[in-house]
Amino acid sequence: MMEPHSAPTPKKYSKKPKYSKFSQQELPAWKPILTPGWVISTFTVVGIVFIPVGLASLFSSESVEEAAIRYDDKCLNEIHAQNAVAFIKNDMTNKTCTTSWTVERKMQGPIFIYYQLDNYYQNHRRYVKSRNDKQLVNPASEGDTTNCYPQDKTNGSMPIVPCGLIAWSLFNDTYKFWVNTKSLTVNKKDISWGSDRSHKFGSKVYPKNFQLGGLVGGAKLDENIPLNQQEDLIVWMRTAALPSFRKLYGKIETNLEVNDSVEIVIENNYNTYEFGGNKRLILSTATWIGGKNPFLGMAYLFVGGVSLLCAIVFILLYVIKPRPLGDPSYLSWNKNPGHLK
Amino acid sequence: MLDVKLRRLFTLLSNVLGIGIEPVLVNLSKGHAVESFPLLKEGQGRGQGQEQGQGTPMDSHRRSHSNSLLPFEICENSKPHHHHHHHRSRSRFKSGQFDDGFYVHEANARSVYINDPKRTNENYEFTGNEIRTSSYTLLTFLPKNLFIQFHRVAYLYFLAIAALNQLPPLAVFGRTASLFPLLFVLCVTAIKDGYEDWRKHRSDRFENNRECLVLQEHGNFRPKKWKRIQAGDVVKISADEMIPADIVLLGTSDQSGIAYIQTMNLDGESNLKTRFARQETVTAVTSESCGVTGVIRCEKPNRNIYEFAANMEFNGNKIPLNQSNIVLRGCVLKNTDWLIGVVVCAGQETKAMLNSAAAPPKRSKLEIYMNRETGWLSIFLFVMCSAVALGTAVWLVRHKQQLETLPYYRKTYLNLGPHFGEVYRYYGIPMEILFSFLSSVIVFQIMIPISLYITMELVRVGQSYFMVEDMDMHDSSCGLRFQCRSFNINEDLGQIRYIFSDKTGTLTENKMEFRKASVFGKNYESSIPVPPAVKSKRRWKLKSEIPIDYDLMTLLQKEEDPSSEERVAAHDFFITLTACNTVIPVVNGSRPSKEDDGVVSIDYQGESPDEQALVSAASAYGYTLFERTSGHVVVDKNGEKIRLEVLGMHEFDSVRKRMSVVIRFPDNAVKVLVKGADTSMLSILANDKDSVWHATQTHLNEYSLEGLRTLVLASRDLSEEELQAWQSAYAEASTALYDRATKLRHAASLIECKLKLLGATGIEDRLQEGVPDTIECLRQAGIKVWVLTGDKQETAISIGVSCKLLTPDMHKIIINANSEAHCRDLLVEAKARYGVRPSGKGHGNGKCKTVADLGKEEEEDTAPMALIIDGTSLVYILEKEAESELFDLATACRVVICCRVAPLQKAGIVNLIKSRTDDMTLAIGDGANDVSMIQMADVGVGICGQEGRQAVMASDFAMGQFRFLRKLLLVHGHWNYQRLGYLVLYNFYRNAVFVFMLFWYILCSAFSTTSALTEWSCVLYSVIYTSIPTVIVGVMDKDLSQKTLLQYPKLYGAGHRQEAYNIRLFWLTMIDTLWQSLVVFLIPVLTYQNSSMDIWSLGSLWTIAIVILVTVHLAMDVNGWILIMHVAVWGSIFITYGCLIVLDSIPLLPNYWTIYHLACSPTYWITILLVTVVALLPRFACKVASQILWPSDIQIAREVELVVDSGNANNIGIACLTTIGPLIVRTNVDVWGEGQHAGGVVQATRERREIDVAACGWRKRFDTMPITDEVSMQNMFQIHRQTQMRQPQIELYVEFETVEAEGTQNDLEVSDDRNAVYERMNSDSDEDFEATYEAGDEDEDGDVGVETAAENVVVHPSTSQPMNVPRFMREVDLDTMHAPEFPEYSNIGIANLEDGEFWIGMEYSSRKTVVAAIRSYTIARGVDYDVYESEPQTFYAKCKMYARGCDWLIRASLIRKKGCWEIPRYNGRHTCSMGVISQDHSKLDSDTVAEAIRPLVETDPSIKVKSIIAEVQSRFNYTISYRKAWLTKQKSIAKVFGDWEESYQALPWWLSVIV
Repeated sequence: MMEPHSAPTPKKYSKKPKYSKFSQQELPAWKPILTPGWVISTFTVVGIVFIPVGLASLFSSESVEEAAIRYDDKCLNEIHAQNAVAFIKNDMTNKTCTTSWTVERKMQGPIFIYYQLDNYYQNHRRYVKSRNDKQLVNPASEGDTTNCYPQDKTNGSMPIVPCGLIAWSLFNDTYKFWVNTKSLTVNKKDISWGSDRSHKFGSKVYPKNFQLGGLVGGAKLDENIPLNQQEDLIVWMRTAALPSFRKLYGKIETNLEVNDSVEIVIENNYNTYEFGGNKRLILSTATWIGGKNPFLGMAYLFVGGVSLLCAIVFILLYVIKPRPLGDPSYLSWNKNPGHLK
Repeated sequence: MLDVKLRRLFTLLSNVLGIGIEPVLVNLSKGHAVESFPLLKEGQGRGQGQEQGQGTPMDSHRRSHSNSLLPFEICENSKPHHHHHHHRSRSRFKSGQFDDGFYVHEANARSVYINDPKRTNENYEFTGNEIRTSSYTLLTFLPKNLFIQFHRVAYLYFLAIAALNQLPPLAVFGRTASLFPLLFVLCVTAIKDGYEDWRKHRSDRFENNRECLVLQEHGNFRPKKWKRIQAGDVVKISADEMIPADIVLLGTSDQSGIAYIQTMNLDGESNLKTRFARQETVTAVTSESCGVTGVIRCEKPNRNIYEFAANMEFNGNKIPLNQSNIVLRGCVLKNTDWLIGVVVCAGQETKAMLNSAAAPPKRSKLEIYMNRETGWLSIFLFVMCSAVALGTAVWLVRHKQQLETLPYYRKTYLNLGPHFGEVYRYYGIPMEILFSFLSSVIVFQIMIPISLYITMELVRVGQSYFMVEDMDMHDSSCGLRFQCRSFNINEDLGQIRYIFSDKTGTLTENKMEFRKASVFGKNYESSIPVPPAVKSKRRWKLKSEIPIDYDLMTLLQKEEDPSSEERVAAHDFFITLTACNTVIPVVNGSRPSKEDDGVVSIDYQGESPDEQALVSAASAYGYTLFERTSGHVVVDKNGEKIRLEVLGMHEFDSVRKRMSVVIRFPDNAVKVLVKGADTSMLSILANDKDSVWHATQTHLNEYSLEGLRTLVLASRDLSEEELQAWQSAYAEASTALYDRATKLRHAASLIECKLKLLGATGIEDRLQEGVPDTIECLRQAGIKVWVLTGDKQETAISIGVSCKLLTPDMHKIIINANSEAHCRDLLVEAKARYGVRPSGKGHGNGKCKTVADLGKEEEEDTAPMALIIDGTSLVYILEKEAESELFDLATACRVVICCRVAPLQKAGIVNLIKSRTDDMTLAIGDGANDVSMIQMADVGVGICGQEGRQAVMASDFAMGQFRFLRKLLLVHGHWNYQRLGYLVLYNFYRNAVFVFMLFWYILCSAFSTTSALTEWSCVLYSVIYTSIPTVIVGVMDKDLSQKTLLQYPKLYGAGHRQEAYNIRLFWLTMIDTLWQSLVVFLIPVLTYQNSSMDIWSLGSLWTIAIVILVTVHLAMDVNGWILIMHVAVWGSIFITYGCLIVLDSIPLLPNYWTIYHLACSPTYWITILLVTVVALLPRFACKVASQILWPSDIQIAREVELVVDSGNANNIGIACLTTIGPLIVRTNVDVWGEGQHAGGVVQATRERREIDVAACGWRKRFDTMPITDEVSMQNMFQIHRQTQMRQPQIELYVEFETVEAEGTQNDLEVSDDRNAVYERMNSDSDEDFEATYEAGDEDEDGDVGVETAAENVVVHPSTSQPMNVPRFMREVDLDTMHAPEFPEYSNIGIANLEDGEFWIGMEYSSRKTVVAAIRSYTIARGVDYDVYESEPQTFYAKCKMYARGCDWLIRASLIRKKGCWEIPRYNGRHTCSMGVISQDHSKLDSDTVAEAIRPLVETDPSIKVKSIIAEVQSRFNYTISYRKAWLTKQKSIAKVFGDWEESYQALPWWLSVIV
C-alpha cells in the first residue's frame, strides 16, 4: 500500500513556538526615560543627600584632634646629620631622643598613637609576597619558608620564624610619653585585628632564628612569646596599601588636657635614612569617620553642589530649549522639527 | 606494489587511531586528480560547464561570460570529516557544490566489477562503507580537541598569558588563579565537544551496524552490516528501507525496472522520484538472484547529486548510465517492493557524505569593527606596559645603590651561608625592564576582552532563541519555525541596506495554478466553474480541483470534424502537456491498469511544480496521465487509453530552456513534442509566421503582463530518416561517459527545429501573503529591495508592479542590450538623462561617502527611478568596466529588477554591491538556484518552500515566508544590533576601567606590578562579578517595543548609520573609562591617604567599588527593566559580596577577614557611594544633555512610547492595524451596523463622497476635513504623504445615505470577474431580502428564501473575496478601541451581577466589559438609558427617565493606578419602569446580540435566522426583529471568519473604488 506523502517537515523545526511573554519578549518592563522631571529630581536628590553627608563628615573630621611630630630629622644631632645611615646602623650609638609637644586642644581618650612612614613601599611586589602564611599559623610547618627568600633560613639552614622580608623589616622605634613628668601608659593590647590574632598567627608558633642573619632589618622578637601575642609584628605584617602609611603603635586611654606638655622619648632605631623615608609620630583621636581627613567631607560638599548646579542648568536648558516629550516631529526624517502642528 | 602496501598501512593506521590520516591518503592516491579551479562555472553544473569546448552558437555569449565572475576556489577533494572549530582550515565550498567532473578524463574512471567486490577493491581505490562523522576517538580526544580549540586566537592569548605567569620572575598571580579562566573555558568547550561527538559516535555506530541484504558468494542474499559493504557488492533493498550506499540499479520488483525513492534526507524534497534500472539488466535480476556480471566504469566521487555519469559493460554491450539509474545513500525506497543494485560508491565517498559540509562561516560587520577597536586596545595595553617598564627602569636606576639593602627590595642574600652575596631574583636592569613589561602584560591581560568573545557567543545564542521562538515568524501554513543556522551574524540583520530577493517561491508562493491557455491562437481562461455535465464524465480525481474553460472543453470533445487543424492542434497540445514532462502519477495505491470503473484518485509527483500544474490541468481537460515508465506513457483520453512509446527524452536544461520527448504513437507515427520558454522556442519554430504565431505572441505578452509564467508548446512529425539520425546521435550521446550533456544537446538540436506551434500556457504563481506591505515597509526603512529572477522581463515587471516595487510614477530604465557597446551606451545614456552622479571610485574612502550620498538622494525624492536589466546585458556588464556604470546607476535607482539571470549572475550582482560599498547585503531565496547568492551575501536567508531545502541548507537564517523579513529585520535585527553594539562597547569599558585602575595603582607601588586586589578577584572580575548582567542585558534589553519599530520603519536607519557602535562612540567610551578609572582609584586613595589602611582592605574596597560602578553604569543604560534584569544586575553585586566574603574567610589568604573589618566602618560605605556618583556624574550629565539637544530617533520613539503608554494619547489605534500600513479606512460602526444594505456601501461613497477625514495627531489632536470631491481627496493624500510620520493613519468616517442600488451598479469597475459575480449575487440577495422582509410575513417560505440568500451573501465571500466587508469596519467603536484593556481583570465584573445591581467600587477589566454589563443590566430590567458622557476613560449614563421619576445614573471610569475600570458613582435601582419595550430594545443592538450568538455561529455558520431569534429570546427575553437577527448573524460571521490580514488585502481595492 502507498503511504500518504503529506509533506513531512523536519520535526525539530515544525513545532509551533509556545506563547509566553518571555519568549515573545513581551514581559512587562519598566522603561525609564530621562524626562525633565526625572533628570532634575535626580540631580536635586543627589545634591540634597550629599550636602548633609558632606557636612557631617567634615564636622567629624574637624573634631578629630591630631598631632604629627616628625622626628627622623629631629633625632639626628648635627654630628650625625651628615651620615645618618652610618649612625643608624651603628649598634653602639645612643639613639634615644627626646622631644616635647604641647597639647593645643583637649584630646579625649582613647588617643591613638601611630607611626607614619613615608616613601616606604610596603606594597612593592617583592615585599608583599615575602611571607609565608602557613608558617605563621601552624607550628608544624615552621620549616616551610617558600616565598620568604632572601630571609628564609639562617646560615645554618635553620628556618627563620617568622620568615620573609616583612617580618625581617619589623619596625623597631619605641615611644615613651611623659605628661607633666608623669609617665603615660601606652596600651599595646588590641592594636591588631582580632581575626589576625586568632587565625593568621598561631598561638603555638614562637619566633625562631629571627634576626640572626648578617643584616638586622629591624626589631627582634621575644622568643618566648607566641606570634599571636606579638601585636607589633601582626600590625606590621598587614602591609600598607600606599607608600606613605600609618601603623598603630598603641593607645593612650586617658585624656590629654589643653596645655599639657607631653614629653616624648623616642628610641630612633629604624633605618629610613637610607632611602629617604620620613618618620612621624601621630597622636590622634578618632570619630566614626576615622582619623582626620577632610577629603571626604569636601568631596561630598563639592559633588552635592555640582549636582544642584546641574539641576539648575538643566532647568534652564529645558526652559530655553524646550522639546516636547515624544514629539515625533523631531525625528530625523521629519525635516522641520518643532514646526509641525 | 610498494604504493599499495603503503596505503594499506595508512588505512590500518587510520582505522586504529581514528584520526585524520585519511586526507593525506586521499592526496596520495589522487595526486593529479586534485586540481583547483579558479574559475567559476555557471549554471550550477547542470551540464553547463561542458560548453567550454564546443558550445552551440546560441551559447557563445554565455561562454564568454563563464570565466568572468569571481575567483572561487573549488576544492574537489573535500575532507570528509570537518570540524566545527576548524574554521580557518575548512575549505570554502562556494558554487563548487555542483561541479560535475567534466575535467576528469575517461582514463580516470573507476571500475566496479558487479558482484565482485574483491576484484573491485584490489586497487584500494574505494573506501569501505563505514562512515565516521565523529571527529574524535577516545584516544585522540584530548590532544585533538585541545589542538582544535587552540586554533582560536583568544585561547592562544590565554595560554601565552598563563605560560608567562609560570615563569618565576613574572609570577604575578598564583599559578592556579592564572590558569583558572583558561581551564574553565577549555573544559566547558571540551565537555560540549565531547558530548556532541559522543552523540555522533552513537549515530555512526547505529548507521554502521544497520543490516542490509547482500548477495554472497553462494548466490543468495544474506544480511550484512552496512560497514562491511564494499563497492562492487550487490545489495537488495526492500520497501521503506534506507539505501546504504550509492548504488546503480540493476533491477526492481517492477517489470519495467522502476523504483520510487524519497530523497528527503538529501535535498529535503518530499515527493517521490523515479529511478530506472536499465531494461537490459532488469531481466537478469529476480528477487532472489542477480545474474548480472560486468564492469561499471564510473566517474570519481563528487558532490553533485544531480549528475552521475557511468557506463556498464554487460553482455558485451556498453550501456550508458546516468543520474536516473543511481540511487544515493540516505534515500528511502518507497512504493516498490524491492530493488537490487550494485554499490559504486560507499561510505565517505557517497554523494550524501560529500555533501554534508557546512556553509562557510561568516563574520559579522560589527565583529570586524570590533576587532579594529581591539587593535586599539592592544595599543593601549602596549602603552601601559611600556609606561610601567619605563617607570621600573627609572626607579631602578635611581635606587641602584640602595637595592641591596632596601627593606622592600633586598636584591642580595646577606645571611651568612651558602647563598651569601648571591643575587636574589635580580637579573640586571635590562632584564628587569623586560620582566616588568611582561608581568604588566599579565596584570593587564583583560584589556584585550577575551571574555567578550564568549559573552558574544552566549548573547547570540540567546538572541537566536528569541528569533526562533517568535510566533510571528512561525509559518503556520506549513508549520515551520524560524531557523537560525548561523549564530555569528545576528547583528548584521540590523544593518541591511540591500535585499536581493528571488522571485519564484520567495515573493510568490510557488504553488502553480494553471490559469490560461492559448491553443492554436485562441485564448482560453479557466475561470468559469466547471459545468456539472463535464464534471460527471471525469473519472480521475485530482488532489485539487482545477477550473476549466468550457469552450476549450467543447472543442476537445467535439465529435464532428476530428481532423480540423484546430482540433488536432488542441489534441497535440494536451498530449504534449501530458507526455512531455517527468511527472510520475501515483494512482491511489494500486496499479492503475486494474482500475477501470469508478473514480480513482491520482496524485502527481514531480520535481517541478509547473509540470505538476500542467499535468493536472491536462487531466482536468480529459487527458489523464496515469502511467509512466522509462519506455512509455499511458494517457487516458476521456476513457480511451493511449499508449505512447517514449523513444527518447531530452530533459529540461538551463541552456536550451526547453524539454522534448520523442513519442511513437500507436499508429506508428513519430512525433517530437517540445515545451519550453518562449524565447528559446520561438526561434526554433517553423518559419511561417502565420496568424496563430501572432495571436500566440500577443497572448504570451498578455500573460506575462498579468504575471503568469508562460511556456510555449510545439510539436513536429519526424520522418523516418530524421528519426534514425537522431536515434544514433542520441544513443551515442547517452552512452558517453563524459561530455554527455553537450552531446545530448547536440542530438536534441537535430529534432528541435522547424516545429509547429501548438500554443502556450499561462501558469499563475501567486504572490505570497503580505509581500507588498513588507516591501513597502522595508523600503521605508531605507532598505533597497532588488529582485533577481530567472523569469522574463514582462513577468518580472508585472510582479514588480503587483508587489508595489514599481509604482506608476517611476521612470523605468530598461537595459536590454545584446552587445557590450550597446550596453554601455544604454547605461551612459540613462545616467546622463537622469543626472546620476558618478560615485567615488568605488573603493577606499569613496565607500562611506556613497552611503551618505545615497541617503540624501533618496531624501530628495525627485523622481524615483527603476532599473530593469536582463541577464544578457548583465553578462556584458559584469565582465567589463561597465560594472561601475551599472553600480552608479543601480544605486541611484530606487528599484532594481534583474530578470533572466543565471544563478551565478545573482551572486555576481550581490558581489557587485558587496565589493563596492560597505553596505550590508541580504539575499533571500528558496531554490537551489539561489544558493550561490545566499552564500555570497552578507546575510543569506532561505525560504523553506516548495523547491527543496538546498537554499535552507546554504542559508544563515531560514523561514517560511517572505513577509517575516519585516519582523526579522526591523525588530529582531534592530534589537540584535543595538544589543550587541552596546554589549561590545560595554565590555570594552568594563575591562578597560579595571585595567586602568590597576595601572594607576602600579604607579604607586614603585612600578612593581602589584595588584591590591587579590588574584582571585582579578580573575573572577570578568568571569563572575560582572559577566552575568552583561549577558542578560545583551540578550533581553529592548530599546523600543516591537510595535514602535514596526510602526516607524525608519528607525531601522539607526543600524545604517551605525549608531550603536562606531569609532566615535568607542573613543567617547574610552575617555569616560579613563575618567571613571581615575575616580575609582583616586577617591579611596585620598580618603585613606594618611591612615593605617592595608593593601588588601583597599583592594577589597576597590573590587566592590568597581563592580558597583560598572553595574550601575550598565543599569543606567538599560532601556527596559524586566524582573530578570533586576535580579541579574543587582544580584551580581550580591554575588560579588558573596565571593568576597568566601574569599575573606579563608585564613590562609592574606586578605583574611578584611571585608568584615571594612563593612563596620561608615567611611567604607560613603566612599563607595562617592565613587559611584562622581564616576557616573559626567556620563549622566552628557547623556541628558545630548538627549535634550540632539535627541536620537530612538530616543524620541522611546518617549513616544512613554507618552502612549501613559494612556492619554489615542493616536496609535489598534496595534495590528497600525503595523500593517500607513492608511486605515474605518467606517463608523453605528452607521454601518444599523445603516443600509451591505451591497450599497461602495456606491454610497461614490455617489456622495461624504467622507470625513480625521487626521489624528498626537495627544488627541484631531483634524477633520470633509471629502466631497476629487480635489479634496487628492488633498487628503497629499497631507497624508507629507505628514506620514506624525500622522501614521487617516481615519475615514463614511456617512451613508440611501441610494438607488440599481443605477450605480454598472459604474463599478471591478477587475476581477469573480468579484463581479459575487457582487451581483450580493446585491441580488439584498433585494431578495428587502422584498421578503418588506412583505412582512415571516412564514416558512420567506425564511427559507432569506436563508439561501443570506448564505450566498455571507458564507461565500467571507473566505477570500475583497467584497466582503472587513471585520474592523463593523465593530469599530472608537472609544473602546482607545481605552486600555487590562486582561488580567477579565474575570471580574462578569459574575458579580447576582442580584443584578451594581455597587460603588465595582471593578471591571475594560471599558468594553463595563459597557456590556450596563447594557445587559438595562436590557434585563427592561429600562433604557442615555449616554451622557463617553470618553476613553469614563462612561456616564443616566436613565432615560432621569429627573422624571427615576434617578438611576451610573458612572464608570478608568483607575490608572489599579489598571482597571471602577464604578465611582451609582445611584441605586431604577425607580421607573419603562414597560414599553417588549418587541425590541434599543440597547440590544446587533453588536450585543452578535457577541451573544457568536458561539452558535462558530459551530454552525449556516444557522437559521429563526434560531437566532429564539436564542435571543431565551437569553434576553426580547424578541428581536428578523432584520436585526439577520444583520446580527452577518456580523458574528464576520467576527468569526473575518480577519485583519484579509481585510487589509481589501484595502487597496477599497481605495481604488473610492478614488
